[in-house]
Amino acid sequence: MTNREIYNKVFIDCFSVAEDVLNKDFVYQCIPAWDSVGHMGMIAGLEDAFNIMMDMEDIVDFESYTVGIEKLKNYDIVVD
Amino acid sequence: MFLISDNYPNKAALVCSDGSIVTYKELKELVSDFSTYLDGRSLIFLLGSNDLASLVCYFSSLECGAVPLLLGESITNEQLNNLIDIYSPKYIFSKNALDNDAYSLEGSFEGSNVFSREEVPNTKLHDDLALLLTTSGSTGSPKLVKLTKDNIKANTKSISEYLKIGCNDRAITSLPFNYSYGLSVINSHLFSGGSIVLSSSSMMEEKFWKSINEYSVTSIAGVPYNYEMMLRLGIDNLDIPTIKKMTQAGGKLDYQKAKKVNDSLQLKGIDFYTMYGQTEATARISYLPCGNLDKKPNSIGIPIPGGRLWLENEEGLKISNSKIVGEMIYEGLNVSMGYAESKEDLSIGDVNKGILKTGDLAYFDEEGYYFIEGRNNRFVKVFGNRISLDSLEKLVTTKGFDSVATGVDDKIVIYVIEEPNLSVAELRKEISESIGINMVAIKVTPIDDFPRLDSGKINYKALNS
Repeated sequence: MTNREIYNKVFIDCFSVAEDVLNKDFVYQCIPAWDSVGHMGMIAGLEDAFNIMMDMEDIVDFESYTVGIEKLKNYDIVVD
Repeated sequence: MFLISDNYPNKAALVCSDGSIVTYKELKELVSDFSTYLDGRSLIFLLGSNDLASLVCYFSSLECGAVPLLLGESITNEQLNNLIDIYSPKYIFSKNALDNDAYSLEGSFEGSNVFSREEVPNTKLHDDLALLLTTSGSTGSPKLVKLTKDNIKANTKSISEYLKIGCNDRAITSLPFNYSYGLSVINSHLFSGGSIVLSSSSMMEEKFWKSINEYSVTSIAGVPYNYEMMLRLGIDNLDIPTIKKMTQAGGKLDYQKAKKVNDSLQLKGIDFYTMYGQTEATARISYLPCGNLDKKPNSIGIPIPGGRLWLENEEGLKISNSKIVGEMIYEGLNVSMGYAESKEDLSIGDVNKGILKTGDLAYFDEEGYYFIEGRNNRFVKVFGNRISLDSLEKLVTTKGFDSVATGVDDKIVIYVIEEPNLSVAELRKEISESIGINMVAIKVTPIDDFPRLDSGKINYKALNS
């Protein structure tokens, strides 16, 4: 799987959403499932999928699907 | 004024989310003014959050004899209308518009509305009844816990005493206002002359941690998943120099995690208290005195000041030896009057007489510290909410599927008989929305048939293996 596919799969599994909603408008709290609990689940999913440990700053700043792609660059993960 | 300290009129009672300060004197004036909306002894549904308006409405109701039922703002219209049908409250306090013709707008306060019912069906409230809390988070269950002013006062005093809450303590709202633990934090701080920072942010947001430093917050309360968040964020790196105390309740925090939290907080000079309680006892039942986590791993500690715990065996006889498991029974002034499931129940007096069967199976050690071994009823705690597995099964039945629900804390597994029109993802989402629990905690597993024991009962052991 490409990094994009892995990245999307975490969102799809975690929030039970279709792939076509994953864009810049998919942001924290845009659906009930992406609340603080869902956020933690999603971060845990990304950490497992990419085998990384994210820093607090990146976790609390991770406010959208698109911002997340930027944050992953800090761990040498390129999602293109 | 009931619950609110009289000793510090010019001190800050609340710090609002915009940073503005409400002193004790100002808070009391707001509480008095608000009571003009309320016509004394009557039932009010308070759809609240951690903001000034909700707190003022809550204290004002207690002050003028109105009985509030605290509900979360996220309650669905269907759940709200169901509760209205059952209890016919005279008032509804809400930020949102109300989808119910029986009510009209009475007035507005700080962005929230008070709606009142024209014709009130004859709702009799027992003289001692002061407050109603839901038994299971935001599920909309009509089963309510009935509390008296004496219950609230006793628990508030006791909590303030063992946590040594004083006028220099400042908490931040990290739990829902309508949740007994969240409410107990507010009550105990305003009772002791401390203060509360009103925040609606979660620990996953930068704003939450910023507010702590900006307003010099001294204590944080959390349910197990809040501590998992802190561990995930990297608790060692949390820069929170003003924090002196942290408390945990609302379910069991796994010992390894509790130890990690405790070790990290010790280095920061923060006292960490793990605690146990139930809404049926207003909030708190026991606590593990700070510094005992290593010595008493997994213990829920000792009864709070003024409370008493003991164990009973299956015959209802008191167990006097240590290390023997029995049902844990609690006695204290904070034990509620009982439950309400209908309007008529609101007129019934105290049936518990200060004694609560907790439903938890426990033992105590030689030094009187209690340890929970299991439960004798089918409840799980999910993110601090108590969820009945039987009600979950009923819920799934209403969606047209046969199911068996099992679970441990923070994880529910629902087994559903495989059939063509079953969509696992869809059902998981519907359940999540109905019970107000994030779907990360819910797993739906299709199954050909339920394993059964010879007696015909579900074989839970085989299911979970």
